[in-house]
Amino acid sequence: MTLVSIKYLLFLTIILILYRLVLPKMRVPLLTLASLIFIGFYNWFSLIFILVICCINFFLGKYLSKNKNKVVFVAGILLHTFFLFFLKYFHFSKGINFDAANFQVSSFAIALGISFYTLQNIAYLIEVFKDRIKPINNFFQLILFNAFFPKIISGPIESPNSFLSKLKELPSPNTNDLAYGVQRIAFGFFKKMVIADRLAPIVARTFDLEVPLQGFVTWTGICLFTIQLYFDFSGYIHIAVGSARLFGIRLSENFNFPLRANSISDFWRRWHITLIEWIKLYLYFPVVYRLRKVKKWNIIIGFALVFLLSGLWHGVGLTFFVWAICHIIYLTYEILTKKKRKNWSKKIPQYIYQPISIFITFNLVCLSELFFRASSINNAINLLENTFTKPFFPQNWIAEFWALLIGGGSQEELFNIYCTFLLFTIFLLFERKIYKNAVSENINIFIWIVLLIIFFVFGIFESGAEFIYLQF
Amino acid sequence: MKEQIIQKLQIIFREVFDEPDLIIDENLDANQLDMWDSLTHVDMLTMVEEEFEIVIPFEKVIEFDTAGDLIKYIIELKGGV
Repeated sequence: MTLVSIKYLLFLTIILILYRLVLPKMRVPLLTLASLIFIGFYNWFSLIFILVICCINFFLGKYLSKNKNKVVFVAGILLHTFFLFFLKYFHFSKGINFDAANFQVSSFAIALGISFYTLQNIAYLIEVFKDRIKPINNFFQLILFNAFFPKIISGPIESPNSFLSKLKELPSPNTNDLAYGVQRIAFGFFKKMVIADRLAPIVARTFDLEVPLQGFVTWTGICLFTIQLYFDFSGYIHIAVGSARLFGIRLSENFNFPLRANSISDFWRRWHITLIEWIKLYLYFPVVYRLRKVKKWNIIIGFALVFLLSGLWHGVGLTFFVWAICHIIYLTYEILTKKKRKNWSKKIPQYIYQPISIFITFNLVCLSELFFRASSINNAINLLENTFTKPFFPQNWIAEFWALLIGGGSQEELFNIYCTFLLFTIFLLFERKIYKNAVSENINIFIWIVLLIIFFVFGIFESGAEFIYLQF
Repeated sequence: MKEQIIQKLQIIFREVFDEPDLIIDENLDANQLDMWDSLTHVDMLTMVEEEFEIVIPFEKVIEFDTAGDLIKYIIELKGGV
């Protein structure tokens, strides 16, 4: 059951009605049951596996709170890590599929959401072991912490400290929560179906190399993947956060307009925030702080560790390794030139410095995402070779750029791609404003009429495409 | 004692966060300084350790959200009021 489907909206509505009908003390069991049914829709293995994991962590948490046994603590963390990499290894041996049109649930849903709830479970054990939280006594709460259906697929990764306290007494959602939730869900549908799914076939054509594109067309296709990934993943997060809010539960935010970042460090403060927060707390700080006497190098070593593990978390292929290396190089450069760049920013007028910084950052991110998306290193190298083929810019833009991007040249196809480019450009430039108007306490009728018209005219309804991050 | 600590911290903050005119108060947090991020946070704490001749355990590192948290902790360690 994909989140962008009528089936999901029906499921959500039924659970919401039941949630309002049952006694408050039955809300956690109800949401737990709903979450297990939701996972069961994907596959039975995911359902059984998450229950086993929850059982293990339930008893481990209780044991570790009473007995500060380091061996059991480390064994618990290693067990979660082992399950994650063991299952991901088999998952990735089947290959990753970024092509929305060919997304098949059966090919990747080996253990739905394992990458996300493994991190949460490790965090839970650490927090209990360090006495920063008390172990959970209610088994349903632990299942919900792991399996809550709006966030099981791809997060956000919740901290046990804040999320578990929310589950102690689930609130009664008020009309503001409902309005907010519905608006966030609709906004997510828009970003996914109108922009991400429209870009998916163009990106697939670029990366497939069946008809090799050249120069600026190739680079545009590569950049479009980053844009597709952003709209796809952030679209999912809007739906997840909105769905949870319908039950009065506030999930963490995962994005803060990352494609407007003016440096790579800034980008990582805005992209996949909950993953970065987890990494920062449990990996980066412990390493960097313990090596603090080796100034600058401690941070570079910290980055190397963080991104190599982050690459491994995404996948076991060489392409993810190169993706990690790209970010280690970018961030090392930024640390070594921090003061110099600060001086430049003071000397150069902001209306010039900021757009140039955003442009450079965006292109560097796209270069790294090329490796993230490529099927192999050879595929990535071929794409880069094609990008630097002369002439870089096409002479006839319609025939040698637009028509090549869409793999055709009919008037309808051209009109659609112009509109898609116009839409995502408007979003990239003014998303903060659009979002503030579209998701607000006082529903903005005008903006929603505009968004809904665009949605029904340009939305992709037939693909039923899953979210890219479901695979991770 | 508190005033002395604030004075010394101010010098450290000005250097680490590259804000020569910064005046710190207890409510100062990372949202108010562009340069206060996870990288400079560690640098700042390392300089605090050297300046005040103290050792800040790792568990505390993530608990300092404001300058006030840090001032309070240094006073505790130095045994002041």
